[in-house]
Amino acid sequence: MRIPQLDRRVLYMLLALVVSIPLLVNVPLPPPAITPPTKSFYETIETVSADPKTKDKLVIISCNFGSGTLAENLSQLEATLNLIVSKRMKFAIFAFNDPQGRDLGGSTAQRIADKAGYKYGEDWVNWGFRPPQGIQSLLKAMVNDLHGALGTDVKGTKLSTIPVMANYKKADDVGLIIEYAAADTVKYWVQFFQRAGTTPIATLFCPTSVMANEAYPMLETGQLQGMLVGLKGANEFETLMKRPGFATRASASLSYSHLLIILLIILGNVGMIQDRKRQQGATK
Amino acid sequence: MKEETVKLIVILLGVASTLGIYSILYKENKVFRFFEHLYLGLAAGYSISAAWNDILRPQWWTLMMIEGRWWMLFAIPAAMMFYMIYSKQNSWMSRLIFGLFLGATAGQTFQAFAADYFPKFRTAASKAVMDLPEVNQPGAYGLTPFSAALNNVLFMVILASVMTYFFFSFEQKGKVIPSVSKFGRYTLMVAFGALFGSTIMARMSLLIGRMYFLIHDFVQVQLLHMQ
Repeated sequence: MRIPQLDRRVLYMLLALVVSIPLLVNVPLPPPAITPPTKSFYETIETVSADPKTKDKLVIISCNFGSGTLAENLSQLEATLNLIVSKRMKFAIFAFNDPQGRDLGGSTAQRIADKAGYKYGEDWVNWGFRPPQGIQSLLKAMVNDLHGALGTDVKGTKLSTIPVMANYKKADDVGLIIEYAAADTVKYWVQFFQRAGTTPIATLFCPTSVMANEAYPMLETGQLQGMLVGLKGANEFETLMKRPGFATRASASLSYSHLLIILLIILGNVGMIQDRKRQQGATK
Repeated sequence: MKEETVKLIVILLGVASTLGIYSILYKENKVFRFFEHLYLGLAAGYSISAAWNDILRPQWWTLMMIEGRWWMLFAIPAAMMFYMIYSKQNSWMSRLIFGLFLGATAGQTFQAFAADYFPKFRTAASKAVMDLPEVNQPGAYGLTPFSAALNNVLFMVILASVMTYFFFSFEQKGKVIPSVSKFGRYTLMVAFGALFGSTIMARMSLLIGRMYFLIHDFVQVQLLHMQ
């Protein structure tokens, strides 16, 4: 049996095994190399939380992902939220591209906030979901009036009556934006909000791996201050924090599945070259 | 019903859905079709519920019916104007509302373009004068001055060659232009390869997430009571 003729279901089974075994038994793997975007991501949170000008400002946690990209975006969210609450920073959950982000972000924040002794309404708030069709206009309106533009939180309470929002009224009161997304939604923050106040707001991006390529130029231009690239980025971040979580457990599966794919690509190409040579030999 | 029982039911439904959706990998079957339609139906219902609970009720219905902002009623005829596109006699009404929105979007697009691309143009242009960022500043990536300079030169060469590849206004003749264009094509292929690699990583991550759910949440925690 040659690789090009191999039943695809055998390959699926092989992949399932390679992914599952490291989840069942501990497979040793060297710690990940911390890439510059992850390092810069971590340092930005450290800087914002230490700077007297920004440490008391609001952190916007923009959760624009759904159940389809849980493994990547949720592990990024858990890892980074743990650092945010450890710095005692106030934060707001927000979603505008996928309504599931409102609940996935909200429930994760609730769990982490409860452990850290955060109280809803006093230390954090969930702004809920707003439609993507009008996000440009909404972000522009939020620059000067967060309360008026957003109206209510996810529970229907007016933002102006929520204690945590009392000191956060406009873009100048925001110290950090972190976008968790399965699409290129970070561009809306960059285009309409990041530089609309008196000083630019530090912006971090947690995309799925497939979306990261488009965002790399924004790191170089300074539009983004850091990025966690998919599950790999989350693993690097957990390593930096010395707090292993799902991404650390999944790193062996991710590495070995890539090795399998590379091996299959090589074998497939070798098989194809052999087939071609055989056909050329037959025609001669 | 006890909280633990509800949790178990939710996990069992998750297991059935995951296995049902993955059954397509074996072959096309009715179980997959059922779960596919179930997923689509749930997603649609969830979106409608979010639109009402997070947007229409607090931002429109409550303000209009409870706080007495009666003028918000005019949102209904404005929204109905979109649907006039289906009426030959009244389609002019849809053009009015579409025009209004297109105008607003066009204005926003100028702002979006400037904020998105002008910093990229500036950074690209600054490469030519070897504007090396300081270590740990945006764009530095912890590079040494030598590696940053090499990076800048590579960037400029690749930018020029890829632009040459996409320059179709004249025939690419001679030795230099086709060679530069060919180099541009190869660098594009490298970039697409990186893009494809990232796609593979994203897909693997999704599979790992589901396998972790089956192995950890279902087998280890629910069946074997491990933590």
